[in-house]
Amino acid sequence: MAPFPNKDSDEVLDKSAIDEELSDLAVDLLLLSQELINTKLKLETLSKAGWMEMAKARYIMGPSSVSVLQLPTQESEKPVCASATLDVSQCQRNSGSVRYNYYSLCPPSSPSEEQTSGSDGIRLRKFDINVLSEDGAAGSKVEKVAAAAAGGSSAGRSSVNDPIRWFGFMPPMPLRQSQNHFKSAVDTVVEIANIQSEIRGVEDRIKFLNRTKKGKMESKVEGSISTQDLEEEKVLSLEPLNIH
Amino acid sequence: MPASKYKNGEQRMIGVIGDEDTCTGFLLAGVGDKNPKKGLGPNFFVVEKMTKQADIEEGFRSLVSRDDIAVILICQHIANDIRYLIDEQTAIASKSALPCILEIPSKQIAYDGSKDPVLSKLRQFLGEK
Repeated sequence: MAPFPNKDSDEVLDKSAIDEELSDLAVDLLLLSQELINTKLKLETLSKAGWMEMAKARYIMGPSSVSVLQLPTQESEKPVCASATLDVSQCQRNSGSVRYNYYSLCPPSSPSEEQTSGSDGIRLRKFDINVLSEDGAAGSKVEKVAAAAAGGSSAGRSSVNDPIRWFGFMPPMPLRQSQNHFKSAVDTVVEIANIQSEIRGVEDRIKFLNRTKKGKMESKVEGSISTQDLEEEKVLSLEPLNIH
Repeated sequence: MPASKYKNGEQRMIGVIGDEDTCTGFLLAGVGDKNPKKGLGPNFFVVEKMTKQADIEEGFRSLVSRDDIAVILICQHIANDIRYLIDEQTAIASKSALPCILEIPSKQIAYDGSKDPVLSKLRQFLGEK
């Protein structure tokens, strides 16, 4: 913005720009709050559907088969790796005036990571006849076989780490449907986190603008007081009229 | 104007504090994590009817103090019991805003927007103007 020669008009323009931005941010806050309510109601709907299917699965399998007893406890030694992880990054809009954290779900981990995260200590060996027939030496084939196994069995390995396996080898369909509902709920949770984070960023910007506006008004008032003092001093310094 | 990223991200997890069904559901979705070798306990805390308030507070503090958790989901009726702790954490985490604490609807009580702290703070904010 080019500086204006007239100081008063420059201050007026800044104040009007601040007021305009504050109005826009207030509208943003209203829209974001409505979006937050709608998304939370969507989460409630998904969660209810998930609880209902879980109750059906519990009815089929028995009360203790789908309960906290199947969940990994503090005492158990077997590690559990989360498949739903978040990527947290910084985001900005309005030319950098509003900054907030942005959350996104990470893609599922690679097969090599899943391989190293296993604590069983058992290596899966799959012997592919086509791979073995290419070369005679068996030792060099171990690496190729391991690579082929890692590439080919990634889907199988991810099913081994699927939390639904904690509830039995062949879980019933309602439990799978419950899992799908809660996976959708996790996506909704990420949306809610982003909205909440953006609300926080907008609130911080509003606080900053209000402080700036207040500072400008205070400096203007001080300026006007100082000019008034100068005028009073001038009046007092005038020589009294001599009346003869 | 669309938002843009300006800083690379870090990978973090989701923590859950809820009743049995809520924790089971989110763990089914793949949120659960535990690594005893690294000294990391589970990233979830199950609150039952007999769970003491002190245990809930301890569970909340343990999840909040972890560096690898970005979002903590907590059922609204449990959050009402430890409201003062959540407000304290929100005030402390003003700069980094992590972990983000989300209150989610619980099985026992329907979602009440009037009790949501984010929305009530927003109403106060707009009302002050």
